[in-house]
Order: sequence, then C-alpha cells, then structure tokens
Amino acid sequence: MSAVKKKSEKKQGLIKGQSTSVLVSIGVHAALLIAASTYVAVQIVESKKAVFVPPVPKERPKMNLKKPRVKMKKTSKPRSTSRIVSKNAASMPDLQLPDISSAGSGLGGGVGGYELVPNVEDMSLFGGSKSVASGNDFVGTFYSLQYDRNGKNLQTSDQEYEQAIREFVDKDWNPYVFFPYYRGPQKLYTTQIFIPTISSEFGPSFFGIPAGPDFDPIMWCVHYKGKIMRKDGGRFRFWGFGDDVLLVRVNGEVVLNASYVFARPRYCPWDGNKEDYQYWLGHAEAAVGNWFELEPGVPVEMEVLIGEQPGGQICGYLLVEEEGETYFKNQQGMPILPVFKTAEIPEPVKDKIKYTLIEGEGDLDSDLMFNVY
Amino acid sequence: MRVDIMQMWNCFRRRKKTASIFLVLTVVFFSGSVFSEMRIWEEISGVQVKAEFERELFDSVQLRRPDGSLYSVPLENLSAQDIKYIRTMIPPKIELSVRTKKRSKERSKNITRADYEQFQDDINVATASVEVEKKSRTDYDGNLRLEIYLVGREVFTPDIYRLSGKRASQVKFTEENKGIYTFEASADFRVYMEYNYDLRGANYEGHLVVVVDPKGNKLASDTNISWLKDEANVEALRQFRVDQFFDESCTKRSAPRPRYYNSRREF
Repeated sequence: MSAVKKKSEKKQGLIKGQSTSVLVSIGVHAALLIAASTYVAVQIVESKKAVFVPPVPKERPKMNLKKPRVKMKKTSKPRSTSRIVSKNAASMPDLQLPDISSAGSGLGGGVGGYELVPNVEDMSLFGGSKSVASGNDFVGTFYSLQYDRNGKNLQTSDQEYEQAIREFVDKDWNPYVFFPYYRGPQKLYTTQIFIPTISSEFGPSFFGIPAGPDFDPIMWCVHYKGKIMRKDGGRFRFWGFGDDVLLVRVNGEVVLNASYVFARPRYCPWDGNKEDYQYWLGHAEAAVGNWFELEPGVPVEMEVLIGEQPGGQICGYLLVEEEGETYFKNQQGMPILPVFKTAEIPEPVKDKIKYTLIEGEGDLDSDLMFNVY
Repeated sequence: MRVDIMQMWNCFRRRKKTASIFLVLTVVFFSGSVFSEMRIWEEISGVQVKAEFERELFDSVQLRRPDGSLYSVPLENLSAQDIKYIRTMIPPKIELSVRTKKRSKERSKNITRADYEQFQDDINVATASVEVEKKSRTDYDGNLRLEIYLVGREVFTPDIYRLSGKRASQVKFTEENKGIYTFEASADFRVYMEYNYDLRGANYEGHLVVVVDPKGNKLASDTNISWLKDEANVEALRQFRVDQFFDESCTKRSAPRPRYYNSRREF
C-alpha cells in the first residue's frame, strides 16, 4: 500500500506527469528569455532613435577682416563713346567709325570663348585692352585732333594742334579740353610707358582704329593716367624722348618735357636741364627731367601725354633715374637707366620693345618699379 | 620521364615563340591604328565580335580581331551604337589643300606722303586659304581642329624666323558644306627702313597647316617650308606665340635688336 501511495505522490504536482522543480525551472528560464529579448529589443529601438550630437565647437579667436585695399579694375570693355559718335553713320564721310570687335584676333578665332585672363600676346607697345595688373595700370585714352567727335576731318593745322596741347597743359591737364575731338573707342591698360620708335600709323590701330587709307594718323595724342608709389620713398627724375610730344606730370607738377626739340616750348613751358640732348634715344636726343620726391608708401597721381603731330615716326621713351644709384654706361656713355614701369613687363611686350630698341638704351629688367599694389 | 620533359620543353619553346610573334604583331598593329581601341562590335543580327577599327572600305568596315585576322562588316549591318562610335571616335580620312596669296596692304595717307617716300616701307599681307575635305563615306560628328601658322624670315638677320600669324578653328563637316570645310588666316609682313637706316622686318617665308583629332593626334599637315617637315619642329612651332622669334631648328631666339650706329642724324 505504501509503495503505491508513494508512486501516486510522486505523480502529483502542478502538471501531471512532471516534477514541480522541472516546471519551475522551465518557468524561470522562460521568464529570463523573455526579459532578455525585451531588453535587446528596447536597445535596438533606442539606438535607432539616437541623434547625432556634434562635438562642442572649439573656441577660436575672432579674425579681424580688414577691407581689402586693392580695387579691382573693371575688365569689361569700355563704354562705347556714344556721346561723341554720331547716331547717323551715313553723315560721316571722312571717318569710318571703327568696330570695337575688330580689335585683336589671335589663336582661337572662329572658336570663341570667354577670356578670364588677359592675353598678353595681344598686348601692344601702348598697352592691352584688359588690365593685367589691377591697380597698377596706367589707363590710356586716344584722341585724334584731326577729327571731330563725329568723325569729320578738321584739317587741323600744326598751330592748332600745338595750341590744343598747350591748352590741355594750362588747364591742369583736364581731358575735357579734348572733348571736341574724336576719342578712340578702346582704352588701353599698361604698366610701362616705353614706346620705341615706330611708324605713326600703327599707334591709332592699337586703340581700335583700323590702319588704312580712311584714317590719317596725324595730330593725335594719348593721355595716360595712373598712380605711382615707392615703399621706401626716394628722389627720382625722368629721362626721355618723345616724337613729337612727351610730357610727364607727377602729383600735379610737370616733371618732364621731352617733346621734340623744335616744338617743345610750344607744348608746355619748360626750362630744360643742362644734361639735355647729350645722348641719343632712338632717333633723336634725350631730355632730362626735374627731380621729384616720393614719400615712403604714399601713392601719388602720375600722368603722361604722348603725341604725334605731322606723322612719320612716333615714340615715347620714358626712363627713370634714382638719385644716389650708379648705373652702367652704354656705348655713348649714357647711363643705362630703368624703363619706367609699375609691374614686370610681359615677355611678348619685351620682345616688341627690343625689336626696335638699340641695346643699352633702356633696362627692361631692372628691379625699379613704382607699383602701388 | 626524360622524353616527357623534352616534349614539354619543346612545347614551351613553341608557345614562347608564338607569344613573341603575337607581341610584335600587336605592337605594330597598335601603332598603325592609334585612333581605335579593342571593343565589342555588334551587328544588327546580334552577332558580336571583339575587334578594333581598321579601316573603312567602300560601304564596309574592316575590323581587326585580337588574333590579327580581319573581319569585314557592311556599314548597314552595324548597330546604331557602333555607327555612333565610328562617327564620333574614329576621325575620317581627310584631304588638305592649301593656297596662299600675297597682296600689298593699303596704307594710311600719311605713309604715302612724298616726304616719306624716300624711306622704303612695304607691307604685304599673306593669306593661307585651307580646304579640308572629308574622304570617308561615314559622317563624322566629332571635333577636328585646324591650325594655320604663317612664318616670316627676318630681312636683316636671315637665320632668324618669326611666327607672324596663327589661327585655329573647329572643323565641321555638314550637309551645307558638303564635307568640305574652308578656313583662312592672314598676317602682315612688313619690310622697312629702320631709324638706323638698316632694312628690317620680315618677308613671308611659308606656312604650316595642321589638322588634329580631339585627342591631339595629328591627322594631316601641309607645309612649304622644308625644315618644317620634321615632326619635332612642327610640335615646337605649335607652342610658339605670335611674334616669337626662332631658328630653323625651331629653337626660340631673342628678338633681333637694331644695330648701334655712330653717325646718327635727324630722321
């Protein structure tokens, strides 16, 4: 009886046929499994919800940005001279108005493109159509005193030309004096004023007026304006020769009249210097200017007037001497002076200058520069 | 064993020899067809062949397989993609013809004034007119570049030349021009008396005309200057700017300077 009882007691429990401890064990394990699964699921959800938190920015000192001093020259083409161009082209029998787009056509003709950088190959002795050294350029404007604003041939006489130049000088170099005359459509930008002897017919063509039988390349001038500066200052004077006109003004004062000797005093009153006409530059003798001073780091305005009167040859040699410097001498015994410049002369322009410049009549590679920027 | 080794060795030697021949042939053929590449060609029937473009022959295209054999396909049987490939990537056969002429330039009134007639000063304008004719039957939609160079020879220093003019254009073969593209370039050649009384300037010496494909490979060239038939000289000249001075080996030279003269007088 007791064995049976024991057997029946053994079979009693929560689930018939299973011991209680096993069932409890199963229950505990199941509970643990559920808990673990729940924990993992929660972690996954939480990780999905995580948001990127950027690192705390480092403390950086504030930069005091100064307004840049360099003024960018506009590289767009100059405005067409609508104020002096007649609207009725047919009423101008004497001068074919030049088309600005005809100026310059190097490699790439027919392909087209947008030039971000000026093409130095297109630069002439008088300058290029775009600025190559922003802020250091001299801007040149061409005037033909042979024609009026509408292109009518005025048959200007030598006396009238000389009077116009003199009036320009007497009225404080005001370009308004040239208002009645034809102004070239293309301004030019240059960083050197040094034009060796060339035929006068080539001058106007660089300013957008095609050379040819329609345009008489006489009685014209070019007015350059720019700024100069020397970081360390100094005392300087110009040497030069212009056929026919070469006048230089620094800070409002004429410091050089190197115009052709016969008409020199008629263009601008000038006393001359004892060193005048001792040496040759190109095809005539050089004149020497007055000393002028530049304060350290102070830019001043400088203007140059180059002109051609009767035709033939044009030139505008402008050299600069620094007081206290010694220079090598050329075959004539003339000091080999630096060419006036405000930036390095581009190689293609140097070649053009060298082709008509006798060796020793100007140093193209000197370090002396009058750049403001 | 020994026999087996010998057999193996002979087999290897034969294969090596075959591989060498194959390599030489490949190099030669590659050099001969620099404009094409090995690719899969597909006919409209679905037949595919791996080959590179060899040439166009009448209305068919000859392709060269990797093993060197030729495979000919009528143009009309090629897929549209292959036709497009030929039209854009394979430069056509072209024929160049160049004509040059010179004329005296009209000068300003000033230069003809009697005061200055005693001084020689002449400008001749040389113009090179070029015709590029497409000889291939297949249309070509790619870009060829035509370059014209005009060379002058210095009068006072005749061993120095000057690049007096250069001009370039994209070549377009269209229905309007019927596969003949024309272009021209001009330059001034001035001979004059310098202020030191030497005769200076340059006379027109000749031209160089080059047509290149989009990859810069030269397709055709024409020149009437003997020392410009040298490839190296051509490549050097193409890099020069206008008014660059150089010699017959196309080495850059400095600009010739006017002579210094002792007895100067008013010009």
